[in-house]
Amino acid sequence: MKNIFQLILSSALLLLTLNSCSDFLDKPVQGQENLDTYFQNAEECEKQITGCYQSVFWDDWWQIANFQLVADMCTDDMWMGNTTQTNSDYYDVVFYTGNGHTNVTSNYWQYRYKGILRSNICIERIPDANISEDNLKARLIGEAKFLRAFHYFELVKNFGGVPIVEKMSMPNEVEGIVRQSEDSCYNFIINDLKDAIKVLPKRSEYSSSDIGRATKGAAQGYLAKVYLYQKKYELAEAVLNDMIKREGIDFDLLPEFGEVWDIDHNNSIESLFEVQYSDDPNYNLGGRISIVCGSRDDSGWSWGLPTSNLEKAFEDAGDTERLKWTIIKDGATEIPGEPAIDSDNPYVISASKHKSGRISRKLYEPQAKRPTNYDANHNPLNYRLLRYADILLMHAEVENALGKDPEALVSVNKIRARVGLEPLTCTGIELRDAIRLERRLELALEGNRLYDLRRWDDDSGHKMIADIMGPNGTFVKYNTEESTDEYELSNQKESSEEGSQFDENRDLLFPIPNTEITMSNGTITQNKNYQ
Amino acid sequence: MKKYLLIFFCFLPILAIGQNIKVQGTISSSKNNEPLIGVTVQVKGTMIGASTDIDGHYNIQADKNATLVFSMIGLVPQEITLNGREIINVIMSEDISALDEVVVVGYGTVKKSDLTSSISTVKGKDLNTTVSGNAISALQGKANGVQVTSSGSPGSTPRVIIRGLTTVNGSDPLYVVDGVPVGTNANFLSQNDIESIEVLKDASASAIYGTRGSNGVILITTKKGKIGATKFHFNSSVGFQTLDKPDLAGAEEYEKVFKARYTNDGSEPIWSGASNLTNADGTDWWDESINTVALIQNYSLGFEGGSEKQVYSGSINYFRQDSQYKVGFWEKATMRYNSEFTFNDYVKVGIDFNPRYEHWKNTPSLMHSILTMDPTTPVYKDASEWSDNPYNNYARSYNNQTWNPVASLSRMSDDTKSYALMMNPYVMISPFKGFTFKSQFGLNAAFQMTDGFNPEFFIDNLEQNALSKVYRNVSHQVNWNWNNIATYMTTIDDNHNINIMGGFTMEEFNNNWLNGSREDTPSYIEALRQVSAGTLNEKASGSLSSTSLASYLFRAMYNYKSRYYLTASVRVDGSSKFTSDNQYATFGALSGSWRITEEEWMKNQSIFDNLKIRAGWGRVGNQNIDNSSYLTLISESDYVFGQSATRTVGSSVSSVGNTNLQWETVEDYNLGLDMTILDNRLEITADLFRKESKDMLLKKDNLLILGYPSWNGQIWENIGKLRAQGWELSAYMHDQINDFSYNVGFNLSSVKNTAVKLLGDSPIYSEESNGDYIIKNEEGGELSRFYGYEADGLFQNQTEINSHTSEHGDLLQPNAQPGDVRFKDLNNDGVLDENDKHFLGSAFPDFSLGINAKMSYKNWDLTANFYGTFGNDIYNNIQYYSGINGTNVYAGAFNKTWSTENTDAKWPRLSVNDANLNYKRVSSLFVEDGSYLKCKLLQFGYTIPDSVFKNVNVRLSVSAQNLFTITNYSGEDPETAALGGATNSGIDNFAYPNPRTFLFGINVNF
Repeated sequence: MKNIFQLILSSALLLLTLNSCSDFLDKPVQGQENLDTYFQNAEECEKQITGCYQSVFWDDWWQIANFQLVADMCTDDMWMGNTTQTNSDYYDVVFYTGNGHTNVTSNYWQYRYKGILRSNICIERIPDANISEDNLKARLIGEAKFLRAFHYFELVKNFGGVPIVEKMSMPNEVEGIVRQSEDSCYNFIINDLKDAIKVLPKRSEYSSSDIGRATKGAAQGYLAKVYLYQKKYELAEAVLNDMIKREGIDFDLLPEFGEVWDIDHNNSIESLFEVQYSDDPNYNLGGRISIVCGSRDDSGWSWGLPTSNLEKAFEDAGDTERLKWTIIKDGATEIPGEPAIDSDNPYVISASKHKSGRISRKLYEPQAKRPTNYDANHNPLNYRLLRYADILLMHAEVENALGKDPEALVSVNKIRARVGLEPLTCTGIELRDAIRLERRLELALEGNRLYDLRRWDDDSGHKMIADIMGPNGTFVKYNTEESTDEYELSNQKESSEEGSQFDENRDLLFPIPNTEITMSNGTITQNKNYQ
Repeated sequence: MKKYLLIFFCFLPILAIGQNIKVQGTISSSKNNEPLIGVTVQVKGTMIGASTDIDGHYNIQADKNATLVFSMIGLVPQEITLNGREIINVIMSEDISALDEVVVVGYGTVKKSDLTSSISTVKGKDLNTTVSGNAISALQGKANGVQVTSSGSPGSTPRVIIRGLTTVNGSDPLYVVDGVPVGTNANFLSQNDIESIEVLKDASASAIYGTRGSNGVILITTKKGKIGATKFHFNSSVGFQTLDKPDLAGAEEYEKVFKARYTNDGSEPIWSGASNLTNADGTDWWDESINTVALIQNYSLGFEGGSEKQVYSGSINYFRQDSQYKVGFWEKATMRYNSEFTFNDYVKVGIDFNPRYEHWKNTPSLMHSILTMDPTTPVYKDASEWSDNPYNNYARSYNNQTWNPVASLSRMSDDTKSYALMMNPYVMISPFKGFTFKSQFGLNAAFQMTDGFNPEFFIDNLEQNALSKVYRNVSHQVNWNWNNIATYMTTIDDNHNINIMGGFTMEEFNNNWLNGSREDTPSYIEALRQVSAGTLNEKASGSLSSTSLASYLFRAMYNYKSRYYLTASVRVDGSSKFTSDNQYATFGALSGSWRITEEEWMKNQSIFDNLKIRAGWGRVGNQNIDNSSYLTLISESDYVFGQSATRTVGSSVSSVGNTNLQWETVEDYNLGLDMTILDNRLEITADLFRKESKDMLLKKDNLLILGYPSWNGQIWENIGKLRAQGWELSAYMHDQINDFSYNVGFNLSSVKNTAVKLLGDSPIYSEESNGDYIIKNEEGGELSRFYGYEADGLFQNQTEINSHTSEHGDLLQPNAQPGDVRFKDLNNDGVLDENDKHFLGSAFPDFSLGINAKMSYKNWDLTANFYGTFGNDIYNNIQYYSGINGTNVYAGAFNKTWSTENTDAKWPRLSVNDANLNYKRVSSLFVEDGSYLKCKLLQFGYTIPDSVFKNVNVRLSVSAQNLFTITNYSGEDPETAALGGATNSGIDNFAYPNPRTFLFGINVNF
């Protein structure tokens, strides 16, 4: 028995030595911070906000950036274009096949929500962080809200009402989640933007090292756009009028249209919000979209090429200035802003590899301004997401819709005057259509048209996109019956019947990823008529 | 050895001590009458003991009426009562019954007859007959229930599955070397150093390893010193390996097949090479890349010896295996020194000290390129096109997209060196009878460095590397553990035997790493392959990953008259991998056995020498997940701000932690039967088992709206449940008839792995092929099954195609032509689609068989080992008959594919478009029976008679490994084809096969 006592005693001694066990088992992760101990000070909060901006376009072309092109590919402005490689990533949406699982929409959905999580974390955590400057704290939260609103707006534009996730959640916390109506999504976005407007500095209030951050003007511009998309013209008018009052102070049109997409005019006075890029070769902080939509004969990948239909629209409007700054054509002996091209050395966009023999001038980078390793994420041309010309055109549209044609004409004619076009004088429906055309020409290839076509009604109550696409759509008829464009007719590796399968009852929205429906056990529903 | 004996004797009853006399004598072997060294002589019931010296002589003080116990492992112990005698000479015979063998269990040892759980033991001498880089490869077929699948390449780790799969996170068991848990790989050990391997198969045995026991535990005991004069052993095996060369088409047949693919589709061949080639015009890519023979060498020099105060042993080993490719090898040099000092009756200290060096160049995986490369292309470009950079001078394939394998080999430069040390000093204290406390500190540390260089080269636009890159990755690992174990053994009233063990352990694993690289070195020359030479894109990264485990252990073993046994164990594990709420988990086990032959009523029967039934239950865990999976981690996410576009350091959440994460638990039941019959000559063991995991750890996809940073929102979650259920049967027969002795064993096991629950909402698909998946893992079904269309022969003519219709007369395969595959419309819905797929076969075998035989006649001996699996299928993904994408084909492919002249061919017609998807669809066409029986080892040995070299024992041997394989499988090696994980096994993509190896060996003992 004595032995057993001794045994118990020695065991007890052993257990005592284990007192420090909880320390021993605490192995904090090395070389990486974690969320539990983050958001302590202003610097950490600022870094997280920087991370939120990164999610606007992410760090490569395939998450978000190429979707700007995909949206235009679904309109009469752009072809897929690349006829040397498989187009399976884009085919289903661009040809309107009704297939519910496409990589391109699924990536876009996934990466927008990843961006929303980043904003949500900031909105949840920054209020409790120890930041002595109240203004800075408010601004950081405002930036996060602006970016969250931006992401949700992008989602609603493409997919309709979506599930609203307001905070970082575990999977069980979102069980049974459903899609909100488009209206309540818009209300959520509006609230975020209003909060942002209250606290975001004006552009002039930022130091020059903070250029690129969301401004009050950017938030107002998006708020106006959200109202416009909902046809809440009075609300939009108020916001736009407030902005136009500040024309020449916070924002203005650049004197020359050719400067708008010029590398040397990144963050110009016309800019409201743009993706910031750097050409530092040691980091992947530059863009690649210029390569994605560049000519295959000039190191590009030729995804997203302008149509002859768009070119014709410029020609019909007598708009030579914007045409030359929007479209480069095969064999061009002159490209504005590109001294490397002349009659001895014409530009090549070979017919066999490109559906249309045209590329975008807006995203074209003159050879002398390209980084050494061109085909990498090193291109410094900022992607313009919102610019003052858009504000003026929205204003024109809103005033026209409210019956205030004189005000509308002032705004639209500012746009026309810059490119040397006669001022408009028409009114009513005629003015409405002229403003719509003006939007197409001014903002061509900038990822706007699809959403305009989806929201604009024609006179018979259909959405305008249904007039352009579908078996009898004007774009389809143009390509199959009227067009004489040698490039587009000869290269049928991408069919000229593109758009003929458009179905108005389905194709005003993109499909949300089918995996969301399966994984939510059907509480998240697919957009109608998608398989 | 001595500590085992101490434990053994603690079971013996205490006797009264009276008048002491001096007793002495000589102990010799019954076999050859030679003196036996190191026999323990113990006064029964006391701690008084001695052992025999080099002449077999002993002397000891004992009471005149005492009983002496003579014992030595491997010999039948004897008890002799003195009755006043002072000289006792003993002749000891070999112990034919292995029942009294001591078996290593977790944190202790136990007599084999006392086992209540399922443990397989393999002795080092049975492993050493096979020469391989990894001792565990030699375990194949020798430990029942342990499925070992080897890949033949140097330095590769075999796949080890113990009793099936209960997790999708890797099947590797935990390896414990001399009490030090070393992780899931034991490649570094020299097989020459292994005394024995114990495989803890059921949870009642492995639960004492708690969180790491769910895949089973392999305990490795290295050789220890023995009392006696110093003995030396020298072993050497040198041999060569060869691979079976696949029979590939030459230039002429390649051209014929290539062109037929177009002409059969009615189009003009796009042919870029010369025409009307003969086979002599081609390149034999196999011969250009693969050596006919590759060397394998294994040398070992060991010694052992000792006195009562100190025992020691040591060895120096060198192993090298060359790759069959013209690049690649693995070599390791290891040293081991072990000694144990006995200070007095109470205190012992010891150490194992094991430094090692490993060096390897990775074996390339270019089999696919070699097999598919266009034979009409030469190795080099025309000399007129050569440039200064030798890497540019290789030819680009004329007719397909395969990269030139000879060029790829020339660029291989990865080189890794590892310097490591393992040691485990310990102290053992026995303050009073039956009680032992052992404290052992184990250290396993390694420094590893990999250097690599990717040269700049340009062969073709699609086969080039624009910037050279040079990199160095260094890491140092320091893993330590501290085991403190107290054991108490006692016997109460002669009948109740009790053995209690308790303790605590601490373990810490640290991995420090630093990687650096730069691009664009000025030249490819050797001296500039250093990171500093690079001129662009300097990159560095490094960190430390650290985890720890603190555990409390307890085990109680009880038996009544060695008849009824009961064992219970508990381990409480605390792990740094989980949050403080879920940090601790408790794992328990309970097992019992009944030795029927010990019953009084069995004493008179003569059939069974031993008959025992065992039953066990236990719970074990698995914590095989990323560190800090419960934490939400932050990483750098930069952006650009400012009018001057300045990089601004940002941050964002890079992985979302799951705070609810806890252990994966496996619950295990085992029922076993051990019996020995025919005068201990035949041993039979049978087991039935069932293991089931719950809360299986899985990286699961989540709703994308959650926005988690990982792809498809994956985070670690406890979800899923796998079940492994099966049986094992082994028999072992041994005998000696005059000069002839033999022992023959076979073992047979069967296990079925079922996915009871997986993701819940969707199956796990794996192994993508042409936009589809070959394997579907479905809830309720077996793991790793091939899923696709049922091929139903070939259409011989248009009439057959026209009659393959739906009930409305619509063609099921409108694109088909004569010579295409007829696919079955299994659900008869009139369309051929996804719903017509079904399960085509399963990757895991119905049963595995090992046969091991050893025979000796006078000085000659023969060893033969066979291993095989039965009832498994292989998806033969290397059916090179189609020439798809212009790849090369097997010789004779032209005549094995369907054509109007060759209508009874097995393979569909050649077609460039393959509109019927004959070769692109996952179908039964590619599923083959993967059963095989392989002769793993055949060895002849001859021992030179003692008369030739006095006191020097020399044995010579020749052996063949992987000599032949009996199988219907058409691919290269059904064994490597079966490799893969739980959810993606059994697809043959032509991995490095197990080479046939011929060796010459010499063993010298003196």
